[in-house]
Amino acid sequence: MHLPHFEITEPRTLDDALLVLSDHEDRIMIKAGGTALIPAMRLGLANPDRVLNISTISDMDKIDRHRDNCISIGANSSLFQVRQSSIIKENFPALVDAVKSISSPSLHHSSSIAGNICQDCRCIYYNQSLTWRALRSKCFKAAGKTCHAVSNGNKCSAVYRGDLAPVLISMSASVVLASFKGKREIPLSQFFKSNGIWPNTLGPAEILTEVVIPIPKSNLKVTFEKVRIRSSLDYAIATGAVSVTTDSEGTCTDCKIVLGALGPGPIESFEAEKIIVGTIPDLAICKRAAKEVINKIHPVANTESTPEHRIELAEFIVVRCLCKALGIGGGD
Amino acid sequence: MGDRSIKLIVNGYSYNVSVPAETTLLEVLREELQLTGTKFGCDTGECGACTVLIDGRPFRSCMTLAVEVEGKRITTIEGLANGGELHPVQKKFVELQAIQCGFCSPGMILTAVAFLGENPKPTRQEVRRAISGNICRCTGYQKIVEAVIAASKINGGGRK
Repeated sequence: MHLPHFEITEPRTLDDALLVLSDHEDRIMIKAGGTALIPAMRLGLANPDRVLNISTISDMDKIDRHRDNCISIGANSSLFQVRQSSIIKENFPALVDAVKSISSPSLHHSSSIAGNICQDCRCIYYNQSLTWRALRSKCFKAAGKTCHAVSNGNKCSAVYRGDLAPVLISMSASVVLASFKGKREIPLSQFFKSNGIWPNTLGPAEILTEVVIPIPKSNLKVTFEKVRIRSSLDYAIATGAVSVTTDSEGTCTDCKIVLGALGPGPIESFEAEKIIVGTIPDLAICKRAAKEVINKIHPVANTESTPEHRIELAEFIVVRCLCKALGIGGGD
Repeated sequence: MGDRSIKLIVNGYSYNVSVPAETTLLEVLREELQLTGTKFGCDTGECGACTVLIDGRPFRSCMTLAVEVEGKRITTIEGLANGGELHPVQKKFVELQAIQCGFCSPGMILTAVAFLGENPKPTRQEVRRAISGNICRCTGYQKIVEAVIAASKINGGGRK
């Protein structure tokens, strides 16, 4: 099926891109690798008049040390670059695990890190062909007034299924957003607004230019787990990342537990984290934290798996991530 | 704006084509250049049948705009053989009968070629993971994995 007609702009510099973006705010869409936008256009889910191809901007695909004890990953860095980078492998092995779990390796050449973070929420009632969707009334995500996944639902329940956001949030990463007014850096956790219609707070005249991750101290451990139906091409039905810092006695001094693919944005469970912090965690404490996590998630029937199954998976993922991070046996 | 004139370098030959922005590389290869070895499969980047090499790396041509690859080196299955001699991966696919209906073979072979360039001595598990984005509905993958492993033992298995 042919793509709908659009114009394309291929800027060489960030300033040129921001100029075009501010001139065409209404009907322009940003394309990096294109692995999300092109299929969405083919399904009629995106129909821009103009596409801004930011992959042509030079110097936005660098991975290097940045300011004080941080690594900067340029927005256009491909997933292949991220997983091959020695600086990433050395400092953030859990990020490499998360990247390797995405789609299949051959697609890592075209997918970018910023595109993965900025991906839209998905729903089995929305990510369908025009013909399929025409047989139902328009849902909230398609500017309609109903939710097909939740009877009498009053908001969109589409699911954010990006794999990198949970692990990056667990590592306290931030993102740099550029506009004509300048650049602002915000914690990645604040980038998401938990809204199925559009999951992030990127402004219409803004471009995500880099991801900044603090270099971890030696006593910080980060782990990542993901479950999907087919490991070559499906999106996650549940994913999670945990970071834990322990002191020399084995007491946990800091902990982040972040889940993905279970709601309209990454979900951090502060209550579960409190259960871990201040203890010398054992399997029982990890299981108690995982039980707490499931109070925070409310999946609905809009993926390839049932909500009940995804709640069980979330619990399993948290226990496994915690046990791996803390070196505790029995997490499987 | 109307069509854009671009120069594509495909299998070592230069082609001038005039296309609107929304034209994919797959459409240009099959419909303008008649290089129908690159297959039209799912059209959503899932099956890998349309895989080509761009500057030696595998890309889905159904998700790649033609205007994006101007000046880049594109290799399709038609350009893989060296003169009359098949590429080592092609040879092993034939010898070990890793082909049944053949629809996935161009994408599968090009993915394998790029992979062997990155990882010249892979394990079976690594091969399985590398080709996991290329769907085959006939072979059950066993023969394909065998053929890629066999090609890796030939000097030049990862030549692009």
